[in-house]
Amino acid sequence: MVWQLHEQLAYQDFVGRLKRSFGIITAVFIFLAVQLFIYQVIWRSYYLQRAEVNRTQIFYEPAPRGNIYSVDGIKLAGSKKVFQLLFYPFVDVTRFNLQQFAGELSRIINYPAPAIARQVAEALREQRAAVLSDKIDRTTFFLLKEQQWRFPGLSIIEAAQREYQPGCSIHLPGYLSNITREELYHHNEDQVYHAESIVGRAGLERSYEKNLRGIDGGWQIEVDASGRQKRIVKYLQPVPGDDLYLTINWHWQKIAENALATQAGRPGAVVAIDIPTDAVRVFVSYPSINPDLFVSGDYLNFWSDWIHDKRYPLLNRCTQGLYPPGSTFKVITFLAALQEAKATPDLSFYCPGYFNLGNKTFRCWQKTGHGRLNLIRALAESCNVYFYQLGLRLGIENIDRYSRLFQLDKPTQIDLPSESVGTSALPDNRKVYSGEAINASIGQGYLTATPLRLAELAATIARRGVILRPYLVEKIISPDGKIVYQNNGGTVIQRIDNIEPENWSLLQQAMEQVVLNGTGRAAGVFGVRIAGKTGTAQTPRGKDHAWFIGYAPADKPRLAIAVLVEHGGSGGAVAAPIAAEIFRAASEDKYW
Amino acid sequence: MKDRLIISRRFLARMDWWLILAAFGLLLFGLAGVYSATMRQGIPEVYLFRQISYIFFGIFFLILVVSVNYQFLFGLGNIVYLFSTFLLIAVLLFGTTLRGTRGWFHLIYFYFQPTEITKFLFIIFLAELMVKNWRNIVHWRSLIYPTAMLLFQVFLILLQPDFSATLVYFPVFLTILFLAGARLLHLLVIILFGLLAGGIPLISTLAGLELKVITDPFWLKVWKAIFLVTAGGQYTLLTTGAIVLLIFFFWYILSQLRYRIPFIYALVLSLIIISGTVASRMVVHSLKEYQRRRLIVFLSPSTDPLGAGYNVLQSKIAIGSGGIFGRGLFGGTQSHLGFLPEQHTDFIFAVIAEELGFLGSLWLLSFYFLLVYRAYIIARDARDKFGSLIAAGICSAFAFYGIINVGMVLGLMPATGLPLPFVSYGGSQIVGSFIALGLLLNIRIRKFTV
Repeated sequence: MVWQLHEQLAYQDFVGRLKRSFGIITAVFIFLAVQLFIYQVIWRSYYLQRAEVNRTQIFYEPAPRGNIYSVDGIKLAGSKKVFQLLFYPFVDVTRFNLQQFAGELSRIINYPAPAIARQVAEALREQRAAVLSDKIDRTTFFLLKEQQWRFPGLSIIEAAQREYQPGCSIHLPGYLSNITREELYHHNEDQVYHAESIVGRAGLERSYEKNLRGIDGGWQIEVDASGRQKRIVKYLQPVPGDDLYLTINWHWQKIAENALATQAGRPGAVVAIDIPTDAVRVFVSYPSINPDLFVSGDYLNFWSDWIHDKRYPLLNRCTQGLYPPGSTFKVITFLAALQEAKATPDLSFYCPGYFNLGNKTFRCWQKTGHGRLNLIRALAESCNVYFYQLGLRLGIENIDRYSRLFQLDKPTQIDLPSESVGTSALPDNRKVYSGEAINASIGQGYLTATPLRLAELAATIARRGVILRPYLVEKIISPDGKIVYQNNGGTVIQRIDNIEPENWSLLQQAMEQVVLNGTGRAAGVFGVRIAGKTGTAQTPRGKDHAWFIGYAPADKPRLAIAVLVEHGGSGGAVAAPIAAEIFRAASEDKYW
Repeated sequence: MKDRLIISRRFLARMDWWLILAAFGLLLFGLAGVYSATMRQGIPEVYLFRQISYIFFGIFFLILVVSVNYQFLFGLGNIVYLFSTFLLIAVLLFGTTLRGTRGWFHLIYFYFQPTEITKFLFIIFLAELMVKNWRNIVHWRSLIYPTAMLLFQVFLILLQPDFSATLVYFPVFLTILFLAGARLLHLLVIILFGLLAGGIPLISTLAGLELKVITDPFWLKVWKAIFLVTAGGQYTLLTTGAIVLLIFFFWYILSQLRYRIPFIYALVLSLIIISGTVASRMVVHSLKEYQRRRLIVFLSPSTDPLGAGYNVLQSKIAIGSGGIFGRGLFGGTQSHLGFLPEQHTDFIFAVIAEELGFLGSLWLLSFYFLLVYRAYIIARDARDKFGSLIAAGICSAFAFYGIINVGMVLGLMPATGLPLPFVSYGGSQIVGSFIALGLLLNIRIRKFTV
């Protein structure tokens, strides 16, 4: 069965067509060969000349990144002009003395000669321009300009570099670093990034990267054989990034950071939220790292230290630190007990300092006991035993339900990347132990929350059950003055609307008592009505965490706060005073 | 179909050594070119090593493909097509995105692009279809099914979206149909459809360009009109509707004047125009921004927006400066070719042309032509229709790849992102080309067996 023999008719037709098609293909190939001949033989000298004389390079002029401002007008992040030193490898190699070049240059710009020599050699080998330095100041610039004839191939251009306000951290507003190859190939859909791009890595620099980065520009430059720029073929003006206007109050931010560093001296976090809008006014995670170190490239020296530092400076405690809320959770137990009719304001229990369940003994923090207490006093004194009783009456399912109602197991949806989510009193698929309700009632057990989440909780209580969405950016304005984005706050995530108004009032009253004459006395500020709750959360290892959550003024709430001091001990002694500092500052600034 | 053993003296005697020589030569050129092209990035050894390992992979698949008599595949055409479809859908669901296209599978160590394989699988499917329908191919009805199958596969690829991968499908499809005996008229209809689908975006891009450049008020109006009509939206709809109405109107007039043309002609013409316009919308949407720029640069090289024209300009300079003897291996001094890091893939020919000069690039072109020529011979001498058609399909595929790639590098065609088989860097492409090579050898070896 060979169709050349057995199906001659069909085959003849086929071969005819095949030959014709192949003929056309051959003609095209010959045409291509002729084209090659034309280019490579006939026009060769022209192209060679163009190749030798006109070597164009593409240089990116990075767009100045958008500025970031705090609500009290401080520029947290901006751009400064720096001069960059470039080396073009189109020098006459026979007359080029690398060592001499590097040596003399290093004396002027104060940069080690071997490093210069290495970069120049690499540039020559790969026929690519190299950035020798981007820290040239004005004086050095003029010096170099005068002596440029001594340095063939050298060129100086202006560039924009990120500059941070002293006191900024990698958590707020974030930090930058060079793009990786992985990202360049896989996450570069709109082809905006190139090999030298710098991107935001954490904080607002990351979550608002698209707005902040602007549009890079650049030059196509023709350079002749001695390295002089012959002409600029094309120049694209870079478009600066949009400016961010934050809700953060820098003045208060500094106070909070100071307080954590000096008063408490331990790692911690402070989050303060404006109550009507849920704008975040204070967002401190301590300790932290100066983002300027990443701009200059110095971070490489410290990276290993940071990773091994037991105080975890790289951790953003506000949104990523998960801690047991401890006694601060009692506000929820309080509300749950009232709402579920398991308690009334005058329900009283006696606290001897301990509590027995079965063969287990649970202690109250005051070992000698509180004596007889009613509901409001119990919250003010933060009596564990009283709340154990409430816990037993409520049962773990109810406590869990209320903890979920206040969204303890959900993210706050703040406009920052990678927020950690806490856990409710009884997360799914967990085993229930008989003492679970007891633990949960005072905020231990499975419960965890971030400082941001608890600040939101305080704000929610102040608003009587309205959970809003916290945010850091109020406005984004483009370089030509247009408002690209505006957030006036008040975005409702959830309304808890089946709780009796009197129960809210009772809770708010009780929280005022905490600060007036309870465990939260240290949070008091003369002349301001403050409501709050202290917390001393037990940890598996080490001292207890110190918490304070609250809001002020109690009658017309404007600011909510959460303070955490890791392993700080007593919430009332360590965390509450820090809250007081913030409230005092707010009061002095006439915030209300 | 008794012979399945590889180790047979007859086997070796039947082997097409010219073909293997051609492929081998291309591979060597490719390795040298890839090494040189990636030298500027600093780690050429990695690319070289990878390319060599791809080649070994390719050889493995080659042996696999050669061992089973290709005639076995006859009857499995539908399964082959289904497999291709399965791959294409799988990559849409589970694939990763590289350079804007969700067309790659991430397999731990490397990336695999299924379109490089589906191209050749489609040839097998189409060849079988043609063989079964040999008598009927003259009738236009029998073209519907293959066209539909083609469009479906192209559609899946456009979803990724990967426009350049679909480019080769069309000429190969038309060639196979033509060789199987389809009437030129019918093929012209399909070509018309393709021209509409591809031409409308081209014209609208051109019109858009002219709008920005022309100052003469008359011409501005003209280009504006063209732009409105072709760029999509209500005007396109109106124009298409008007054209269709005109067609029917003329048909009516002609029939009244006793020039009876079957109604079906008018209907088909209208349908083609409508569907062509619709398809052109799809094509436009699947064009990424940088592909659009490349189109613009091709249409109007002086515009040079954002440096996309830089690529082609540098390519020409590189080629031209090669001269007769070239600038020496690894001695190409042209700075990297523009924004896109494609010089070790698409523009590899330019690198080789610069370094090895006219003699070298002519040699490369000859090797490539040899490859195409041997494929043609195999198609001519294959013992059955199936083999001939497969070989002819592969021949045209290789031919078009070569023509498009070299044309692009010379600036004769817009930069399309098509690699040069065996020469360009790229695992999926190498493996796909080896599989095709295997099929050719397969057909050639079985020439005289029963």
